[in-house]
Parts: sequence; structure tokens; C-alpha cells
Amino acid sequence: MNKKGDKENRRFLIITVGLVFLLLLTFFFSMFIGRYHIAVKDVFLYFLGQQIDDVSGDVITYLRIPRTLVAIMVGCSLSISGTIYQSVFNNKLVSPGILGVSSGASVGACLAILFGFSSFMISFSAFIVGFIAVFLTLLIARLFNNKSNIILILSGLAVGGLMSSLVGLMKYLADSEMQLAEMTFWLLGDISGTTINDFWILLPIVIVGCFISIILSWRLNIVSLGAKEAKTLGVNYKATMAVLIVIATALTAVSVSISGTIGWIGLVIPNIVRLLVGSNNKKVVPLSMLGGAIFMVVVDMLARSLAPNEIPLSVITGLIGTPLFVFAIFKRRKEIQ
Amino acid sequence: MKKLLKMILCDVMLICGVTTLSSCNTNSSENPTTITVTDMEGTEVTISNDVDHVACISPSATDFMISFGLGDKIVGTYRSFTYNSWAIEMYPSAANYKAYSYSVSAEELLADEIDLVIIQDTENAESFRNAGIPVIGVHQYSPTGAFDDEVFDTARLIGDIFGGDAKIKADAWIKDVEDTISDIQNEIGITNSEEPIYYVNGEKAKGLYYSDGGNSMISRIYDVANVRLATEKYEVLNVHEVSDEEMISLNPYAIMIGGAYQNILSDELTTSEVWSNLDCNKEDRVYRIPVCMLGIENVSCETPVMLKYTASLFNDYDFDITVEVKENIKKYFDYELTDSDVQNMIRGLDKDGNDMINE
Repeated sequence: MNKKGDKENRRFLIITVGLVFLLLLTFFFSMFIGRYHIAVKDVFLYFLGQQIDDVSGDVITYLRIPRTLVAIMVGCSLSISGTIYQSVFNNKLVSPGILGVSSGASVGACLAILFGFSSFMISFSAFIVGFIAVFLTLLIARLFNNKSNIILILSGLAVGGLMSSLVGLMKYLADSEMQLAEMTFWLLGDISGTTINDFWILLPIVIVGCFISIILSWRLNIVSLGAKEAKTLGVNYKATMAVLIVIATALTAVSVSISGTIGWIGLVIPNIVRLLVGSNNKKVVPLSMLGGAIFMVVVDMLARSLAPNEIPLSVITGLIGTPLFVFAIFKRRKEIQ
Repeated sequence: MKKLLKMILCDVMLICGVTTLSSCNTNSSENPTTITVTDMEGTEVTISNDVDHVACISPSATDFMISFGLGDKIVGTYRSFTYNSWAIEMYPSAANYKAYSYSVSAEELLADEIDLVIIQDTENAESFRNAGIPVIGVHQYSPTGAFDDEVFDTARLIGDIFGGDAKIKADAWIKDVEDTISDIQNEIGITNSEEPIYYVNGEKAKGLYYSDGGNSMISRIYDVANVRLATEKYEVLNVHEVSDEEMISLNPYAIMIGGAYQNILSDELTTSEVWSNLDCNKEDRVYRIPVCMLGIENVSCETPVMLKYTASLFNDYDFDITVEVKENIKKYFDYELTDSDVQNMIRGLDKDGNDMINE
């Protein structure tokens, strides 16, 4: 048993080191891959503090570094959020938007676009309405006076449906040539206009969220067993659930408010990670963080490189995520049966 | 005698009958009740010759209609035109035009008793036609290739549909543009300059990365001025918006900003960290495009001015913009501009020196 445990730990360590290395590698690749050609040598010189041509320096400083850092934060947040929700609801097919946070954030963003607010206000409004949507979900679930998670999921679906209708209404009211295009792009995910300030907004929330998630990852294992088992093992089920849901919601809301709604990451990455290290959240949580960050950096590189204009992020996450998800299901088909 | 009188009467009646019949035929060919034209999409459209209620959902076509003396036939136009202060200044009745969007419904047009729609975006054309309203599609670009002869199509179609004085004025404008092009080409020659000019289409609030493709009017204007549109290669993809990196990789020799949003965009461009080190920005080769009833880079009565202005920016071509703008506006709209008016137009401002944005 110990030998098996050691082997698994060694495997976890190797995968962790491998993913950290891969993240650094994708970050470096992200500095020279794009529509504007920058030589690999220039990227090295830039990071060594040497002089490179002004325009290349500007592209790295003001475009590629901010959006790559934001991509890391967003990928990391959505993956952790997906991992938490899937464990809390004991359903591996749950995505971060299950309690209505993404659709709520969409309403907030569309509302701000409709009123012509600034990009900061769009993010702020998305964040606030995302939280309001989750609060509404919890309120509806409470009305049933039923502690089953199914009620919570059903409430989330109902609120999600309501929010989708409101988004539809706002798209209908929007100016077809300006606001509608902006809404559509936001709803499909976009980090092309992000600045380093967006990274600084994300950083503290993502760091705190990741830190608490890692600390609570063993409790996440227990919570996923159900209320009775958790109590038996001395864990305050309700309080732990509440903390975990707040963290997952905050991480999703803050990410979506900056990048727009990006599908698949929170669903696919945790499932792929479980294929590699099993269902132990002590391993799944940190590896999902790394996996989500790498995935998102790659998606962003493709979004800005494949065409003269930006391709919405959800288009690419869907194209890559679908086969990955099918692969994950296929590999775990026996478990599912 | 009786027989002779009968024969004479018969002959007279016959002659009268034939004459009447032949004169009827002449009338019907000279003033037919309908006219058939082919619009810029290649669609044959049959229109009544007594069109009186036009939904002119194209700023370009509205500019021509006002200039050709047809402004009173317009019921509504594209909404940006309705808050263009220069349009209202030069043609006060434009203040009464209804504001339409490209997505206007057939029912609304029927309620407005529209008997002809001239529209830039033909997405809903089929529903208008199904409702019995003829639709003429006009464009600022060519759906098939380079925008050459199509430059004249909007004016030509309006002349053909309304005939008479409108036709004479449309032909005069076409000749004016042709003469301007040959005058420019005689003076600067025809070269295949590779200097890329990045054009910012600031008609709407779509930012610095919204431009036009190679099959557009602006590309045609640049051809005449011996420069090329930096985004010309995107005509195949019909991409109008490039990414920030793509724009930087185009490394434009100069930037021209047009439309109502040009002042906001110009400020954004000069203060942007990403754009600051581009040669065109450092060497002050960022130019505004004057605004009149619409941005003069669009197909309009102001096209001769735009052709000369662009040629003068990138070639050794003498051009006094103040004089030319004044003369052009007088010629096509019978309106006297002051020097201050012209300066405001050049800076993309309204008569009072304010931004032309209406949000």
C-alpha cells in the first residue's frame, strides 16, 4: 500500500513539475507567437533587459504579457471552480456556470454595454450580477426547504434560464451595428483588450481562491462523499460547502467579468486531470490550476494568431475541448457505467 | 359623290385611328409606367416611374438624392444621417427625415407608404420585396472584385430611376469624378506604389481596428493616389476588423482616420502605448478625413474632393482644400461655406466646432 502510495506521489510530483515546466514554456512561446513577428532571440533579449526594437518591445509589454497573464489567471480560476463544483455536487459533468454565475455575469455585462458604460464598468457589472444570480439560486433552493443538492442544481438551471432570456432581451434592445457585436463577442469570450490592470484585479482574488482551495482540498474529498459521511469524519459539512461554493463562485465571477464567458475549461480540464491522477482532490486541485492555465494560454495564442482579427475564445475552447471531453468520457466509460 | 365622301371619311378615320394608335405607342415608350434597372447586387428591379416615398437607407444615396434635387422624395434615411448637423445645415428638410436602421421591418416601411427602398445592407431585401416594395441594393464596396466602375453605380441608378434633371446631374457628377481622376493621374502619373496606408473607419464606435477591405471605395481612392490600402488583402475574407497585432504587423506608412468618431479615435491613437512607436505616429503621418453630409471617403458628391485631398497628401499635387471644399459644396448643394465651416469639416467637427457623435 505504501509502495503504491509512493508511486502515486512520485507520479503526481512528476506531473506537477512537468506542468509547471509546460506552463513556463507556453508563456515563453506566447511572447513570440502572434500576427506580429517577433524573433525568439528578441524575446530572450527582452527578458534579459537588453534593448530590442521599440515596436517589438511595445507588443510584448503592452499586448502579449498582459493578455498571457490574464489567460493564466482565467484558465486557473475556471478550472479550480469546475473542480470544486464537480466535487461538491458529486457530478463530474457540472461546469462553473451551474449556479447561474456565468449567465448572471452575462446579463450584467450586456446591461452595461447597453447603457454604453466603460469596460471597467462592464466587468464590475458582470461581477455583481453574477453574484446576484447565485444568491437568487440559493434563495430559490431555500424555498423548497430541501437540503438535496439536486434542488440547488435545478434552481441554478432555472436562474440560468431566466438570465439567458434577459440576455436575449438585451440583445434584442441593443443597437444592431455596435452594441450587439460587442455583446456577442463578450458572450463568446475575449481577452484582446485586456491590460496589465486587469491582471492586477484578478491576481489577489485568484491567489486567495487558489490558496484556500488547496488548503481545503482534502475537505473537498470528504464533502464529495455526502453530508452524513462528512459529519462522521468530523467535518462541518454546511460551512465547508458554503466556503467552497463562495470561492468557486468568486473565481468564476471575477474571471468571467474580465474575459467574458468561456466554456469548456471548467468542465474538461478537471476531468482530464482525473484521468492522470485519479479523483483525489489534493492532487486534482493544483493540477487543474496548472492545466487550466496552460490550456487557456494555448487557446489565446490560437485566437490571436489564426486570423487577421481575433477569434472568440469560446469558439476555440469548444473546438479543442469537445474531443478532449469525449476522450475523457471514453477513458472513464467503465466508471460511468 | 356619296360614295366618294364615304371613302374620304373612312380614310380620314383610318388616318386618325393610326395616328392615335401610333401616338399612344410613342407615349408608352417615352413615359412607361415602370422602369427596370439592375442594382449593384445584379438584381433586376422593376420600379414605378412615379416613385414619391423613398426609404433611402444609405447615407451615400441620400447625399446624391439631395444634391440631385430629390430630397423631398425621401421619407427616411439611415439614422446617422439624421443627426449629421452638416446635412441639416445644408438641407434643413433633412431634419424631418425619419431615422431607419438596416434592420427596419417590412411592416414599418409599409406603414410609411414607402414605394422604393434604397439600402446598403440588403439582408432584409427579400422580405421587403415579398411585401411588394422594390429594393435597390447599393454598396460602398464591390461584392465581386475591385471597386472600379461601381463607384458610379449609386449615382447612375438614382439618375436612371428618377430621370430628367436627376439624370443630368448624375451624369455631370460621374463626369466630374472621371475628370478628377484623369487630372490627378496626368499630374502624378500612375505608379505601383507599395506605401501601405491604414484606414480607420470611424463612422461607428468600433475602435481603431475597424477598417475596410481591398474591394472598397477607400481602396479605389488610394489606387488613384498611388498608395495602397494596408488592409487590402482582406477583401477575400471580408474582414473589416483586424487585431492590434495584425495592424502593427502591417507597419503602415500613414494612417487616415475618417467618420464621426475620428477625434476620439485620433486621441486614442496618439496616447496609445502600443501605437506610439509606429513610424507613422512618430513622424506625424496621421491624417483626418473631412466630414460633410457623410465622411467624404464614402461614395458621395464629395468624392472629387477626397480624391484630390488624398493625392495631395502622398504626392506632389497642388490642392487648396479650403477652396476645393467650398466650390464643391456650392456646386452640389448650392450652399456657401465660410472659412471656419471648412476648417470644422476638415477636423471632423460640426458647424459649431463640436464632435459629430450622437449617442
